[in-house]
Amino acid sequence: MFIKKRRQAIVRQELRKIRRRLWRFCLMRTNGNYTDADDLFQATALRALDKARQFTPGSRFDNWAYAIATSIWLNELRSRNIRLGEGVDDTGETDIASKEMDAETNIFASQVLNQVMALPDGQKLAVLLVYVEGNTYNEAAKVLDVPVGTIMSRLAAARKKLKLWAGEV
Amino acid sequence: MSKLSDEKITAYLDGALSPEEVLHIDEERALDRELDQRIRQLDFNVATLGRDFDEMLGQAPHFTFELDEQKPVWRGAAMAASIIAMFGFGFAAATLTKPVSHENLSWVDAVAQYQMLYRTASLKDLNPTPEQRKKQLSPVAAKLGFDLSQAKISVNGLEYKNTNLLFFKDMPLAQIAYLDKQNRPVSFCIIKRKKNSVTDIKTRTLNKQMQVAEWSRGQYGFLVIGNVDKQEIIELAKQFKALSADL
Repeated sequence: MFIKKRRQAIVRQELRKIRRRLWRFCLMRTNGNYTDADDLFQATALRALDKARQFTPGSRFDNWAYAIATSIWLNELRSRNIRLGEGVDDTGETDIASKEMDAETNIFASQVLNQVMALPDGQKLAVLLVYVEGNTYNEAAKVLDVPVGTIMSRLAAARKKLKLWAGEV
Repeated sequence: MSKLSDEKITAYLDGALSPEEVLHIDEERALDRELDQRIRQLDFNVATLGRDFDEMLGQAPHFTFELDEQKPVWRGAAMAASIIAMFGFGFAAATLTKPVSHENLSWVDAVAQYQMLYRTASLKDLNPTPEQRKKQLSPVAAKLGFDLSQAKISVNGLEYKNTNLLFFKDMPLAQIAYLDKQNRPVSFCIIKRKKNSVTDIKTRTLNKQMQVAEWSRGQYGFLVIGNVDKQEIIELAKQFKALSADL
């Protein structure tokens, strides 16, 4: 009991430190849907506290929390698919482009950010984890629960599209 | 050398290869124009992405639940997690969400809370004459230093009803209330801030139903808000934005 409380105190402290980055991950994870991102953030924080004993002090808390968010979100997507009668998608990640680029409804001031958000889910998450958060391929693969090769493929595809959209080819 | 995969080239560009492998590719690249071209096709500058992504951090809402053991919301964490498992996270998160504290309220949050009090009946019987409308708008326009003539606040699909001069943290805020074609309350708000900024239209949903479109230009922040369809809010925001394009 004492260990659990002690671990929860650590998790609380870590959550405070990363809350804005965790929310950003949730926003990316939910494909830019602010309402879902807020809900996912809160569900992740609660789950992290509940599973506090599983967190190893000294290891990367952010990636641990991101993995929890990923697990919750994929379960939520499966539930939604079942509710809609669309069956279960066990691929976990989709490689379908999230949305068409539309200058009028771009939600961010940064053009590059809007372009990243237009990438397929798996690609933009790989970009976030590796190029923004500074993870290795292995670490990113662990967070998203996919093989390392998949992370590399997604980064390669993302690089190609971003370069093309930037008009630099 | 056998043909390099895109994944290998990506690892090369990411600095994830051994010095020997890098040297090998450098040598090949110097001799092979096709390989050089393929590398260029993937050579997107990822170094500045962190700066771009910081914009998102600025949009993070002020989560007001205190991560404090003394607060009941966290004492129930384990139970809440069980609820999540049983009912899905939407339900659990909704029951645990606390309102935004006044201290951390943004002007958009403040307007959203105000807008939630509006119903059709709040505005239906307000039918100001052109003179009354002018009387309502003139002092607000003067306070904001912003042209609120009829041409600047009239858009297709909205019927003008009322104007309020409000203040958010001492900054003047105009709230112009309308009913849409389905008699749903919609507000167009303008705030005069101390800092300049230019942002494109951004949309979001507050409290799962209130649609918001916001943008800024110079000292002014703009907002269209209402419990209407997202597409309607976007269309209205585009119209209002076009009316103030000369700022």
